[in-house]
Amino acid sequence: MNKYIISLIIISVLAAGLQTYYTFSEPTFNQDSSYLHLRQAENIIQNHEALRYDSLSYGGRTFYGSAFYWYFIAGLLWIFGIYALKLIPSLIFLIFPILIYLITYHFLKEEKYAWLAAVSSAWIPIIWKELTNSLDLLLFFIPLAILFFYTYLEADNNQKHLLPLIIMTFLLGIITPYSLIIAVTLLIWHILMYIENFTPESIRGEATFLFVLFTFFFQFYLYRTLITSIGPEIIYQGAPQALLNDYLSNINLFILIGGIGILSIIFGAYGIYTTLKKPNEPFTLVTAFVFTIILLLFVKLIPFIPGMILLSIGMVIMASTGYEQFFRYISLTKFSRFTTPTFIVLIVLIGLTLTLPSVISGYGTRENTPTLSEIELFTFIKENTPKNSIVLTGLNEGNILTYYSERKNLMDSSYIGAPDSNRRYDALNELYTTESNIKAQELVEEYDIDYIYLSPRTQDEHNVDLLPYTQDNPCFTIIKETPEGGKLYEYTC
Amino acid sequence: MNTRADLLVLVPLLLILGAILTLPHFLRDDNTLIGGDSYYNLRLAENPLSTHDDLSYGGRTSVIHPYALILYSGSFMSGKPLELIGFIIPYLIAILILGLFYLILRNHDFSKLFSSTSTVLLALSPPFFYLANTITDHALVILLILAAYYLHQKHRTTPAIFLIILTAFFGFYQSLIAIMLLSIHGLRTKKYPIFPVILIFIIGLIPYILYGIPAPQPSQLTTRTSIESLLIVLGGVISFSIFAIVLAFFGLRTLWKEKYTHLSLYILIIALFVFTLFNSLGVLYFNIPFIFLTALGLSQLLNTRWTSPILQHIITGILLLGIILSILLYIQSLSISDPTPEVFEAFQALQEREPTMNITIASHPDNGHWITSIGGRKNVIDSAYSFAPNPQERWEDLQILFHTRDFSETQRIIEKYNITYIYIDSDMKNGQVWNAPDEGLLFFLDASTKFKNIYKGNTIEIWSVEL
Repeated sequence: MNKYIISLIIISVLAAGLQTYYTFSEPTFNQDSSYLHLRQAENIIQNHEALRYDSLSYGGRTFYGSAFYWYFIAGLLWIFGIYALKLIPSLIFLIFPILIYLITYHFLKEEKYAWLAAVSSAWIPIIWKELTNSLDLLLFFIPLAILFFYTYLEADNNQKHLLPLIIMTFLLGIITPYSLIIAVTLLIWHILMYIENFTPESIRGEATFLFVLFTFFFQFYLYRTLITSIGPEIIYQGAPQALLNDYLSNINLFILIGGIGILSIIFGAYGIYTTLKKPNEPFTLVTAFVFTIILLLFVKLIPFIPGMILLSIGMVIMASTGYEQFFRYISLTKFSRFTTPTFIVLIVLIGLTLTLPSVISGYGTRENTPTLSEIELFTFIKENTPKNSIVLTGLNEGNILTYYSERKNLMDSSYIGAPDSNRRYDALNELYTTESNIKAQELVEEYDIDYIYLSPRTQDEHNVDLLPYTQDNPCFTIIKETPEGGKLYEYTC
Repeated sequence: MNTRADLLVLVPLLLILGAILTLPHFLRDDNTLIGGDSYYNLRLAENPLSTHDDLSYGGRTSVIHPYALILYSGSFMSGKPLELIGFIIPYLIAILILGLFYLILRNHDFSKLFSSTSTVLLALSPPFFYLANTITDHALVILLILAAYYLHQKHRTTPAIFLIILTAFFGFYQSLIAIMLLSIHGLRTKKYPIFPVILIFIIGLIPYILYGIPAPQPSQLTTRTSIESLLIVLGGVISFSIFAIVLAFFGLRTLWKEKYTHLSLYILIIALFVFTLFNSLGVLYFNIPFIFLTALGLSQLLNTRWTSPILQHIITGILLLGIILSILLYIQSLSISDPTPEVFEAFQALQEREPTMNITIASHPDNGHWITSIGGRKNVIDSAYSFAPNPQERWEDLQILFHTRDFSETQRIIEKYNITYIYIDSDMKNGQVWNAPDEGLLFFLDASTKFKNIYKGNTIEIWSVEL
């Protein structure tokens, strides 16, 4: 085994090890959506089916779409227990850089640059921030998507190569609506190839047709009831309009640099540029993927965080060809004798701009992870409040509440198919910021809210220490507090 | 074309397809008709020669409908009830359309297999299901057009033109379609049928000459078609399966290989598509060439050599499965579409409370035909806008009634139209009229003693007005 593979394995093990450390240093999971997946998995184990109508989320709502992922999580939970779920991100972080290396090397035929891309992929700050200690579906989607692209590019009339492609097509189409991103990518890829006068193998067209057709067919079938009731608005996945408006405002250069890494951005962009000048099937495909994500972010069809994560993957892969082109260029100039020092500088820069921020971001996931005292508070709610109580929490705490307290929330981060998400989102923000007693009471009574939880997270988000309208208001009483400053209010009027 | 051999294929095919077409009706709980237009046309058929409708819009001009005459005649001659005739005739027309479609394709030297497949696809298309299961004169117009084309294929041009002229009696929109078809035919044969076109135009103008220019339809209730209403998967009422659209694109691509050889067909498709954009019922006409393209696309998909036969078979399977699934979903939605049993129950409750027929009930125009045809009462407005008195003004007044919080305005509108009852359904409360439970009139209904709830079902409420 050569030095690149050995060092890559070591780096992957380091990354996975650090992931494991972060994951197991907290008893709980990062991200509100993790708790939805966990609750669904537990429901499957208990009742042998996914929860389609949930009486707790949004005070009662239907879940649409594929339950495949929940069944998968349930299977892992049932066989291996909760620790298996905790280990998932670590395992993904272990195999992911190796996967990137194998695929970029397969198409680039250059170990050095594939290695650089793979090492970069182990340390993407936005991924460390959002997917550490999480059960987010993206953790599975990303490696599956990369495998799909590989099988797509390797497909020919040989059944040995065709079968994996067909399997990946059906798997991705069934598991997640994120597969629609791949469908759009394939279409854009064909357009790019056509523009560049580059004729791909005819089987690519047939494979694209199959993927696009099956994915749209299956996703439309799963969401048909919702599509019939809300029509084309479904492409916004039920996200409140105010949140949609914020999608683009979140994007600026510093966030991109901080989340994806300056090296991946620069060399990824350079890789895209050189690929467009001289197209080839694999890297034009990844270019199409990057363009797709940018397009979807621009038209607000994909939330900001998942968009950034997927964009970072694309840029890291394109950076491999960027590195290749860069070093090829250097080798033709009088700086060719600085090739090795430049390579070393790049490695150092990766350490400084990717590894260090990733380590810090991973550590910072604790902010989104419920603390033990919060869990205690949620358990207090479960044991001391009526079963049909409605509790207001921050947007990214709704699923945590329903998981631990088994009480209804006003809203949570699972928007698709949720009732009235626009009005609820406005009400939620109003209730955390308004100074008007009358307005607050009106909203509390409109949504039958019995309790309000003001967590430290929500305090930071809305820039409040306590709810202004609760001061000297006998209708609102603080019945529990956490050492971190979280407050649970009861509405008694 | 071998007539005997074709009949051996056609007759069983029509029997099977005819049986499938009846599914939405038999899946309904109570064997009622489907859609407001069905009940409206049935009510017209009770008195087909009348030029005044006492109930719609509280009283309005009624243009004589040839289809209502046919329904009435059918009931009179057979001695059967109008409801039964209203159920049978659309199916008969649908079966005749299918038969003609098959024969037309065979006359164009398409194979028996292709013609049969096309006929099956036509029968299984949502617009055709709508045609077969509702009482709409568009079915008869399509039959006349196809019969004319068939006669033209048999070189019997005079009877063909006669049939086309007959379509003009069904309305101005239909006469425009007839003029378009004759024009395309003229373009193709270089023999322009000027006299028939003029005659059709005059016939189409007769109602306007007799009754004057009608008031325009309320702009907010346009029957213009949006892209989402064309797709069954996006909830379109008379719409296309997205898989059929994919196949139709393949069909178009196949035709385009022969470039301008099929120019008249392209013009027909474009013209009918444009018609569809201006009137959603144009889908019923556009469906015929669309299905031809779909069948052509399917044939091309199956007969072209693919790099991977496995992918070819999987893709064809998915497309066919998608089409079948779409039609199953459509059959299901048709079978539970309005009027539901609750509509009858609501008017029964009203009848028990208020046997008087000479009362006016206000509601959204989509419910207008239930009020007149099922309730037997007057409405303020319904979706039969043609030659209706002041539909725009009535719609705007209803908007005031529904949304104002100024009770004096509410009272004014109620007195203006002499409204005695208000009919509200769940669609109205879920965005069609209101978005919040205490918006406008809903606030008064709950809070004011001037309104009394006389019926409250799962989805329908009727309120009496007691000013």
